[in-house]
Amino acid sequence: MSDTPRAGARVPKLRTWHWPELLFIAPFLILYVTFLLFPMAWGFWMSFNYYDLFAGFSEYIGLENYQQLFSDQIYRRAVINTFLFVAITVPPLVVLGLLIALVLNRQTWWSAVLRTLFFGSTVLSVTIVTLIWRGVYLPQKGLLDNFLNAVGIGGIGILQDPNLALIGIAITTVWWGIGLPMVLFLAALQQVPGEIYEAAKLDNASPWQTLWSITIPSIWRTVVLVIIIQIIAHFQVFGQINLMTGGGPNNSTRSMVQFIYESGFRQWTAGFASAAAQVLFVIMVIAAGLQFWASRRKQEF
Amino acid sequence: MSRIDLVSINKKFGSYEAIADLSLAIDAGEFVVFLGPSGCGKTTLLRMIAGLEAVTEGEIHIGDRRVEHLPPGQRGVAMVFQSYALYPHMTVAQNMAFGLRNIGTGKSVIDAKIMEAARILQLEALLDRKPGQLSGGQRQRVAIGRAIVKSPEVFLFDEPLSNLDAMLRARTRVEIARLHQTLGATMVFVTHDQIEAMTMAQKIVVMSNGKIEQVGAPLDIYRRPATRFVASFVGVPAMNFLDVSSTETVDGKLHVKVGETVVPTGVAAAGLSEPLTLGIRPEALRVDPAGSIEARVDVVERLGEKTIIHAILPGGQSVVGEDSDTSTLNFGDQVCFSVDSGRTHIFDAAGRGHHAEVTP
Amino acid sequence: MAAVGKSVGMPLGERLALIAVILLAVLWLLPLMWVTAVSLKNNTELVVNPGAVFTAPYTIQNYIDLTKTSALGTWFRNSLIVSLSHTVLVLIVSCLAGYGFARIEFPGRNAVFIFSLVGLAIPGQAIIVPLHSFFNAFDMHNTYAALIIPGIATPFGIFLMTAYFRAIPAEIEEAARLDNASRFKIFWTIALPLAVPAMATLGIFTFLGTWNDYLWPLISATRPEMYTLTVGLAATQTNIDQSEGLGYLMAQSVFAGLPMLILYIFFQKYVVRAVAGAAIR
Repeated sequence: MSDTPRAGARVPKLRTWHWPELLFIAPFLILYVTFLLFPMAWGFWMSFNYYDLFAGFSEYIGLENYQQLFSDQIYRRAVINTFLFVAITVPPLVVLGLLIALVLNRQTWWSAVLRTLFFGSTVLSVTIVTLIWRGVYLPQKGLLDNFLNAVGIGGIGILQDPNLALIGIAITTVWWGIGLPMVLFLAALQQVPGEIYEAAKLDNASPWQTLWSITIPSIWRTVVLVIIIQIIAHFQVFGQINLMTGGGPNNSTRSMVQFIYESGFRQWTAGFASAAAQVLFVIMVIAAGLQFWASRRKQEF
Repeated sequence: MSRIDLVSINKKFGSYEAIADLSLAIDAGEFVVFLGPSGCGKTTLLRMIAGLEAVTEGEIHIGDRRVEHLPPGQRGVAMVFQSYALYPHMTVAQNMAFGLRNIGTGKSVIDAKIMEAARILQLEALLDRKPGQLSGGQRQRVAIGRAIVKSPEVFLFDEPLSNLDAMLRARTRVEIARLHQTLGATMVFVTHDQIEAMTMAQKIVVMSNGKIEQVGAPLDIYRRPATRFVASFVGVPAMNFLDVSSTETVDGKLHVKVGETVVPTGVAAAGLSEPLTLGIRPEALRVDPAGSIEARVDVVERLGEKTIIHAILPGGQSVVGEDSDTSTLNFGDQVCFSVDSGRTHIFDAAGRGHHAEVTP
Repeated sequence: MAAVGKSVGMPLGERLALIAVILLAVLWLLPLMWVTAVSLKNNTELVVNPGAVFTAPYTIQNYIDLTKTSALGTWFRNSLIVSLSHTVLVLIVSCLAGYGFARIEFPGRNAVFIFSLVGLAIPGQAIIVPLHSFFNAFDMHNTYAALIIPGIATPFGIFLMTAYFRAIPAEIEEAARLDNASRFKIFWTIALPLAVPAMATLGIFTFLGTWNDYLWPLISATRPEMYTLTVGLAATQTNIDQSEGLGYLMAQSVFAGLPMLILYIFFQKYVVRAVAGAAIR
């Protein structure tokens, strides 16, 4: 202890951090910039270029990719399909998810079993889900047509019909994804304090009134959040479509992400695909902003 | 055991000055309590001694060493936190061993120290438990044990009793006081509870707004509060403060007029000028049929050994006085108080205290 | 007013809802049962009469064929290697950075943290084209590295771990500093053990997501021996409509789905918490 500074001498400040401690965040920052931000920026740049991935040739062409994109009939169809898909997928997911959660929000063995069943499909990969459902949808041989034949309607070959294929994919998607809205609603329902229900009983509220004036308002924030989460998720639909219909028949199921995939990795027009990716990015940023807003908002009764 | 010297300490959080030019000397082996309301800077001061908070200006000496640039582990201090801050995933023994293992202490030495601390604190049966399996009082003792095994030069306590219930708090006060006698170490204890300060401290440092109001022995603080702040903060029920409307000097002592009544005080009149405030502790304002201060009884609190009378003066001001345990007063009764002039206080415009009692 | 008590049994509305949910459960179960049944049928019998699914005889021949001919084993191993490595790396990177953002008071910390969260808004699909070109430039496609590396630096992981480390009382860490523990020692022996629940959430969510990922392996792994399970299974079902081996195909899907379902049933509580926690952020 002989090297202790004397009174009045200048001493270094007590350090709250040291340079080597930045090693904690360095790996993340390096990987983050290299594999997320840089590709994002490069993609942005690509969208203003003509890229020939095979020839290794590129040329700056300004907004031409975007002009071509917005005048592309198939792209327009893909945008419409995507919105349509969200519109027919999200409402049943939210409504059925809420219904299931309300019914299964109890401590009995059979509700636990049913919760396991409804969430179980969520852990399967998209390939397994589509394998199962392509089997179910097989013309004449599948479960669906078997059933329709049996009741006398006759097989429809749902995925082969341009008017029905998107609905078929939506049914598969609801079957696959119902678990998440269900568990989110269940979590929200368990947050509602039991005293509120006891107070409602003392006020002679009927079960129906209790549902609409107590339960739903109490979890309204979660309802909004689930709707936004589901919109974000299904806006990016790709796997089911690529595997079940490949975008057909007649482009009736082509989605925006599948359009990016096809133009990037089937036609190998990287610049054009990047332009389509930028459009998706803008929509996703808006949706993420909405989600941020919804999740930060105070619970309102 | 070491002495601590704080020299011209200044602490800023951004532009907010939490502590301004504070100096304090703590003797080796002394039990010092930092007392003050929340936000007065007492915990910040403790954390600066510990090294958890950097000083903006000034010097801290522990023993012969200047330490304000040293990290917490190298200052020879141990700290007991308000929340105990036990490592939740370690057993009691591991909690106590952690600090010793970090400085390379041999296993046999560690085991001996843990056994010694466990014996002092009666933790022998709990050594293999995790904090989650302990009661509040047991956790508190483990936190103290974790400090003891390090044989620190200085013990720092940051409101360690505030999470305990009233019974346990009283018992732990005694235990900590006994520990101080056993170990003879320097101890600095932060609290907002004046009972803890009065019962445990050899020296109380009363703080307010980042400044020291008074440093003194507990009875000194109580009987001769240096400022009106100290007088109001220490003592339950709190001291009565009555505005003085005029004064006269009788035999060198100040007689003050409060409302329509003249109250003789034992305070020397020399050097005092209005405006002044009269301070009387409740125990110096006794119910007395012959007393000169008339009031109307508002609330009566019967404590058993005595009775606290809350009364309202003709001017509308509330005062608190005492009556014997056999008091028959009730709400609305007229009552007279007499003042023990030997225990009166006068506060001047700057809030400085002047006292009838000379030395305790 | 009216009857007091007598609230025996369920009200009508609740009973209807219960029936609806039970019907839904049957609908949810049907495809799984049908697939299982098909996988246990003789392929030629199915071609002749699709309705034969519902009647005996059943056989495990498809599963026996599976073990002999299918590349499922290779793909399964690839998926396991990729998912486990990716998950471990995500945990390491996220824990380190999460702790750094939560506890090290370096200047500009908040700005860097916000900069790191901006990536939350970038969907994976939006960067696949440049990411593909990137790995192409280093001739790294059809390697484990290409399948493992993208997405290791996940803003979601940082967000989750930072929030969790921040919620650990600072006093515990201060006690460790007074106990002479270095920064890394505090991280390793104090913070990390206390962050196990958050690591479980992040780990399960990441493993599930990687195991089930389809788009990136589809683009990066083009050689069958580098396929992951998802991509491999996808490749086998391209001709399902013409396929005469429907039972064999369905046996594949059962075989591939079973490990995940079994894991899920054993660790259901953690899986649900992980997925739900990740969704809400």
